[in-house]
Amino acid sequence: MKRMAETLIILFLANVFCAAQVTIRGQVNDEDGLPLPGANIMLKGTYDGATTDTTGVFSFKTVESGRQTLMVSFIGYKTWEQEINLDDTLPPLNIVLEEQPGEIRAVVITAGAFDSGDLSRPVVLKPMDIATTPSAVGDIYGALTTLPGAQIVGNEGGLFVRGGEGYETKTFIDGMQVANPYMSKLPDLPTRSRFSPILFTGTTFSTGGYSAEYGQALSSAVNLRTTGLADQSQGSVSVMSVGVSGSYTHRWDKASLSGTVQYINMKPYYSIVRQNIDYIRYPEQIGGTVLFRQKYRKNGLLKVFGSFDRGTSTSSYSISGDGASPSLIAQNSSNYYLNAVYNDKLSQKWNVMTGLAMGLNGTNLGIDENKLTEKARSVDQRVTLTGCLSDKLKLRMGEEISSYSYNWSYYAHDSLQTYSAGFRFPDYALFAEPEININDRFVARAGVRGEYTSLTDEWQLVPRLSVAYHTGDYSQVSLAYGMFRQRPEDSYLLFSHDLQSEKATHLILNYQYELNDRIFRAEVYRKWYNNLVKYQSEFNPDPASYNNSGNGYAQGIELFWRDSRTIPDLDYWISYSYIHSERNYKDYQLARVPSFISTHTITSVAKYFWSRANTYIGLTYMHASPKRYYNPAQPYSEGDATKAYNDLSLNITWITPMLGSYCAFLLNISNLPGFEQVYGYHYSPNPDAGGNYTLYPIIPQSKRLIVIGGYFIF
Amino acid sequence: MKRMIVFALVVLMAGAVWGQNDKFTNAMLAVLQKSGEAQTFEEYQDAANSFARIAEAEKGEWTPLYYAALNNLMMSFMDIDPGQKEKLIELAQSQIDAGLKLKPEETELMVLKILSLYGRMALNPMDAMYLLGDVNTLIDRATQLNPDNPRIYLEQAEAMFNMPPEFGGGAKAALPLLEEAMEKFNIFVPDSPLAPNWGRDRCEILLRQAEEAVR
Repeated sequence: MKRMAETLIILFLANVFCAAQVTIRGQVNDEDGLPLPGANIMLKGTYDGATTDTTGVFSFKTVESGRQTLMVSFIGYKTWEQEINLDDTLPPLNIVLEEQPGEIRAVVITAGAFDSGDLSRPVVLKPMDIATTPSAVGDIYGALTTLPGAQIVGNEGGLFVRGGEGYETKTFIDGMQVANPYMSKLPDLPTRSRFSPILFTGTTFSTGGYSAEYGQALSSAVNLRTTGLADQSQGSVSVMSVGVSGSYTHRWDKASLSGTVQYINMKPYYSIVRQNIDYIRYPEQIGGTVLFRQKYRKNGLLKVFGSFDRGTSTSSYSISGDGASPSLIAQNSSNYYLNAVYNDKLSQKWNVMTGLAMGLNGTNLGIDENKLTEKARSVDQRVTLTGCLSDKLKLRMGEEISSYSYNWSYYAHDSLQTYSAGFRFPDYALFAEPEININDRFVARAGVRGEYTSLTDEWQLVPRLSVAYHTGDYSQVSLAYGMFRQRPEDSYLLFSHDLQSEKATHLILNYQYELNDRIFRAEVYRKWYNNLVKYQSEFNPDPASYNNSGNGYAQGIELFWRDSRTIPDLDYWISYSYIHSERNYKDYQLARVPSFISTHTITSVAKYFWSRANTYIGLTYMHASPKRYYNPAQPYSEGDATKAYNDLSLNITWITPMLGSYCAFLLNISNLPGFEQVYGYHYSPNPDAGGNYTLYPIIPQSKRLIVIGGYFIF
Repeated sequence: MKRMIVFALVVLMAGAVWGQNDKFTNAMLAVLQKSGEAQTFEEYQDAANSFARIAEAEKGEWTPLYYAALNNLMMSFMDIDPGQKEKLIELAQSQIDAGLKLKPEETELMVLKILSLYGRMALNPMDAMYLLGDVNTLIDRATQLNPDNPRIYLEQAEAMFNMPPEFGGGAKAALPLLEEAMEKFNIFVPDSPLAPNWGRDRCEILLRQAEEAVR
């Protein structure tokens, strides 16, 4: 038996020493036949292998035998694998590696969508871009205005997309509806987003043709994705010329909680820089946000987002525009928003997202002795399932239940009477949308959305369809078509409950070329409007004075170019939009170009990082061609045109370490050269003795806005 | 006798296992030698590939992933096309993440991750403000887990050293950090022949420069 053991040992050793050496050699090329130096060749599961030389040639010896897997990998290329038998005589191998279809190269639907996301993907606007676009002064919608498709409407704020009014753009946070994303508005002054851009890691700005997932938006959908689990515990304080804010984040192992409080008071600034508005009480606002994230199981993530703000101001403003008899306008508003979203993996193939959002918005507006009170409540609940049924087929489907109520009351001092009105109704929606990768070059998405509006008892089925086709290695063409519905504005529904949803149909053709941090897009579109609300006069309590007979269209061409590669540390983008649009809605007597439309809009943003000085410099130039305005005495006229709009804004951000951490100092100047900006004109409500209406320009509050601030992290 | 056979088999198997480990260590040491002598892009590439091959065969070991990533990062810091740099950093990060999956509390891997983030920042200065948060988290976590790892301090010192003096950086500002790193290097003993043990030379050079700058 001892011998047996010896034999075993000898056999074992023999096996080691007698193993024959085999040489494996070959050549690695790309699909164009060019040699790939630096590719890694290995016998899977062993250490044996080699790296190709500058001519793509490799050769190595191995003591392995029998069937083995030869693997070749190289950065940016698909890994190549093949079984070989080392017992056979091997001829030199000729290996061709296929280029890896990175995310840039994968075919995706781009018609109508500007998507931005995490840092590693090719993106259009990153959160940092939004925060540092000079003309936007930290406003999300302001930054999106630098993309093609949006009009520059300085007296409104918000997003006017492709001939659509501001209310036709809907905002979603993590896929949930936000009923009141804008701050309360004063007449002729722009509003801003309630939410700070730094809360979000990604923004999808859709200028049309969007997925069946989104309803109640005629023109545009903006989906903001909040940040995930916070990385670390940290605090920050920012001090600006217009207010202060502080935030603190605490991170636990599987959860994080962040809170931000902000206080804004325009008094110091407006006291120094004269405004065109006479404030009795300077605008003051307090607000805060809370973000809570908790991880569950392996893939579950709960996100809770809450925000509140209260604002107040009193100003002397001439409603009629004539400046002669100004009214005292006292505004105070409050807004609460809460949204909870849970994402989890149900199985290998299915993901679920469920969410609940609630909003409460109240505004009190005192106009001299008269009082206007508005209160809106919204609840939105949604479940979405996403299934990757195979490599080729993805299915999204879901349901949405939302309830919206709006109450309005007006106290008229002259008659000592209070008028009030309101409505409340739930909406239901179901959608299903399969996405089929027909092949590597061709993807199609066909969705259908069923919507029920209880107020008018309407059931509607709206189709959405988009396809994308890879025309070359870096270019693709996509086409989108869809029908969209949205309930009429609150101020119409108040008095007439018989109004049907307004409708829009979009048709978009898009071309995109993207290579190495350079992107070029061109889009042409046509949009049809139906069922638009027409009325005899605004706030008319007679339901019969409202109907759905309005219509309109918009068509245009849009170009976009962004390049962050050619000049080191310089990133710039240029957008151009051409639009032709007419509408016959509201109290129009004929189809007209709405007064928020500029036929040509050019915006360009350039950002340079001066690394030597740790300084970011941002510059925005915007140009919008003249807008129309209409004389009420000539309801059938073509209207007159304003001057063209120009703006050049600058910001400088300097980052420096301080007390073991970092801080940033910011200077932002809007309209640096002091261009004369006129958004439109008001006509006096009553004609003078000669029967003429007097014209009053709608202009910004001040020629320039200067914001100075410091941001400290601790 | 039967017992003998069982014993012999156990010895043989143990030998095979030991042999396996020995084979791993020897292979790693051979490539480490190669990697230590690398000067050109091609030489680093060759070392990175060799480590990647070992990592592919030894799915439970973190060191081959570590050194593969280190070599890929060295290549990314060379004067090459920015697109290529980005790809190399991406590859290195995937290797570091795979390593962290095997050994989530390994501070050496965190040090490499910090290095890769610095690489990203240099490439995309606009993202720097976002990445700084990640860097700080990693530094805090690594310091907490192993305060004696000298490379954590060296990384911070190097970043400070390269920052313009007008903004609180430079040789002078980096001096205390470099001294701390040097102290840690003086008492640092690697756990095994394969454990990372680089940076001392670099630290000495920077320290000398910093001391000269102060003088």
